[in-house]
Amino acid sequence: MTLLPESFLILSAFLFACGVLCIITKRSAIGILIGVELVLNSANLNFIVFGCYLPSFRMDGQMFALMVIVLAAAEAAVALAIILNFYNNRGSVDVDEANELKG
Amino acid sequence: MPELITEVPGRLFLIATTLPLLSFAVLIWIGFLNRQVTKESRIPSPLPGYFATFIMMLAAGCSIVGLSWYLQDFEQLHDQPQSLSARWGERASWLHIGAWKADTRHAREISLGYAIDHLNALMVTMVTVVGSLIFLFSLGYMKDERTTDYHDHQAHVHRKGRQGRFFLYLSLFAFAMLTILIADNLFQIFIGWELVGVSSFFLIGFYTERHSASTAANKAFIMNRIGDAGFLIALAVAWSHVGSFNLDQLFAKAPTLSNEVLWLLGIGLLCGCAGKSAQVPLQTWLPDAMEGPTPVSALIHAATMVAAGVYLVGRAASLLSPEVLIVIVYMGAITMILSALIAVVQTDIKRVLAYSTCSQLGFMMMALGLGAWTAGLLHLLTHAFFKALLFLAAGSVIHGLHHEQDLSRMGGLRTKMPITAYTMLIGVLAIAGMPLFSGWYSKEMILSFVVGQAALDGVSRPLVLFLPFLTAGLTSFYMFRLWFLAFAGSPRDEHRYQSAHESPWIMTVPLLLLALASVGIAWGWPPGSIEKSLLVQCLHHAEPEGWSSRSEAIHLKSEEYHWLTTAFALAAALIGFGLALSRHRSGKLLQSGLPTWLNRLFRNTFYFDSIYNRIFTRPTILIAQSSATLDKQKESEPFQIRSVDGIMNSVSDMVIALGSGVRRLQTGHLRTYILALGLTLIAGLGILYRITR
Repeated sequence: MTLLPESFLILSAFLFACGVLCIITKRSAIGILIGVELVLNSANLNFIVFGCYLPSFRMDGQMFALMVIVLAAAEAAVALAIILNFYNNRGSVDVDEANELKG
Repeated sequence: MPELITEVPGRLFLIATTLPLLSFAVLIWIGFLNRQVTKESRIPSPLPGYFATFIMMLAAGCSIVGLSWYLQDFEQLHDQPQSLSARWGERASWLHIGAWKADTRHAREISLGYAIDHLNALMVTMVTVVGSLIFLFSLGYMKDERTTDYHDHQAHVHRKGRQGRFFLYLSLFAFAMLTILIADNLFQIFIGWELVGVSSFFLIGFYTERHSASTAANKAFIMNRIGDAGFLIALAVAWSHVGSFNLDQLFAKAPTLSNEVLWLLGIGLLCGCAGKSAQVPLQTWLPDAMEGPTPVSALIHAATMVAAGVYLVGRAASLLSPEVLIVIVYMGAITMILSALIAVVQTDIKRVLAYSTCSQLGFMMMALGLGAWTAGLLHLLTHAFFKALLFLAAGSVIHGLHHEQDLSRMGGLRTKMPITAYTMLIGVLAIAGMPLFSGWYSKEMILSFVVGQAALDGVSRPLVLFLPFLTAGLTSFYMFRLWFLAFAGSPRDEHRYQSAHESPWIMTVPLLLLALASVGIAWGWPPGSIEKSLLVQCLHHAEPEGWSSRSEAIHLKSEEYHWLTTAFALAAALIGFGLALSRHRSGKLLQSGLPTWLNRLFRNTFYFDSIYNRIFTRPTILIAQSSATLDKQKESEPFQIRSVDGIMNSVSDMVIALGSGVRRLQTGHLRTYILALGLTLIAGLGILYRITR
């Protein structure tokens, strides 16, 4: 049985939607971070799929996937540091409390 | 170092110019350090004064050496003008404009440089020599400033003495004037011009606590500014039509320019010169400039500042078209006669001298306008010496009488201060044009030129023929009147007379030296002949080409009337003297003896000041006040456009309203932002979808 690329793309879109939904609905900063990771991974999946099915894109797709993983790790580190500081100041990780810059 | 100078000896003049700048820089630096370091109570040191005077004398030495070297060089090289000008001038490109790839216009450049000829070699020497004598005099005159607690009797304030600052300004003044003199382009002349203006502002307003002094300083500055506007126009014309500020290029291009351009250029320059040299209608600042300390007046009236205007007319003579010259003639003639008439009724010793300066400057301007180039500039040179002498002598009198300037309180002072009295007498004789005194040579030359021109061209302008002789008579009258009132007869104020004293040697030595110069500066051998005068021969070399041929013809013609001219000039001077003497004998010198309306007219200086006050000053103040009241009205509501502030405020109010509206969008909730992001993304994708279909 051959797997069509469309099925992977649908999976990726599903992951992306889950991630965005997670970002929008969650009040906890950790939850939002998890949503962001989902979004990034859905993008990663796209790269891998195209790298697999398009011969001319093979190397590039894998390279970009690796790149995104590294970036995601860095981003997670920074975001966790921010969340930690936020927790130290407020005693919670509720992003709705972070509204001091509103107009 | 010696090679630097022997190769290009013109650098001597450059050194003479920059030396005062050096002393200015050193003094300002020391003053800055002093303010940081020393205590309030320390008595100011006399060193700044000595230093500035020494530097000025050094500059005088440089320029004297330079002048004699130049005269020698000219003897050897006068048939090779190229190598002469290479030895006595340098030029460096300073600013290069144009000639990029895209710019098709010619490249233009502003260069800095100097070029020495007979005229400015003599002028620099005159300025530095007279300047250093004035500096020396100031050491004595400004001695009472060397305290921690100076009491200003007129402003009724106690303040710190500021002798150092006085010499600081004097040095800057000298530097500015020398810059004008040695420059070979209008740009540098303009820089010097402005520096002269600003340093005269500082010096006239030196007693800044006195209301009259600060007003006079403002007046001088503003009047000069009006003239400078004209100078700027001339600069713009030169730049746009010739593309250069260098005088030699301007002279070369002048014949090819159209009449209108030349006219505008000439009138612009003339306007600047009228402002600096205090010609009608910009003359009102000069008498008010008497508010400064007396050495400053001497410097302004003799060596620097007012000489600059006449010098520039002489320097740029080739640029002036006949129409402009006519304007100069009448401007000079009017200034000459009006100022002389005003001087007749003045009773302030310095004001008499101020108006006489105005009058003499008008005399020079008129001479230059008529074409008597050598004569006019010769008068500038001789006038510098005797006017410096007269002012310093007046300063010595004022110093000896403890700041009394009113002639009606003087009298009989020649027994108390003989040196001042007799040196001043020499100055009076020189300015009155008595034979063999330096003033005689220049005055006689101008008068004979006037007569010669009238004989050659017919008496087309009788006023110009008649007024110089009248002015000569008036000059002689008011100068002798001044001297008699101050020094002769019996004292009118016993108390003042008793406390009067002769000035110390540091003030009398400059007087004696200047008296010597006032007698003999224009001598030659034999002394009785004007043509044999060394100064005349020297100046004659620098006369522009087109001018000398014409003046030669007039000169030949005037020879026929030589004795007539001399007789008339002498008669005018002697009548003036006789009138002053007879009125002195009968004790009526203080009353003018004129009809009251004439007397009032002269005393109010022909109402120039009040007319300017009515026409310019008061409307300006009125406009300023009314706009101030408009401005101060409460306008809290936006869009209430009633004044400038209202317009400005309504603009800012609109921006504020917009900002506070947009502010609401920033909720601070992360999810709203994400939502907005998502919506934007969808909208963007939708647009892309529509476009690609």
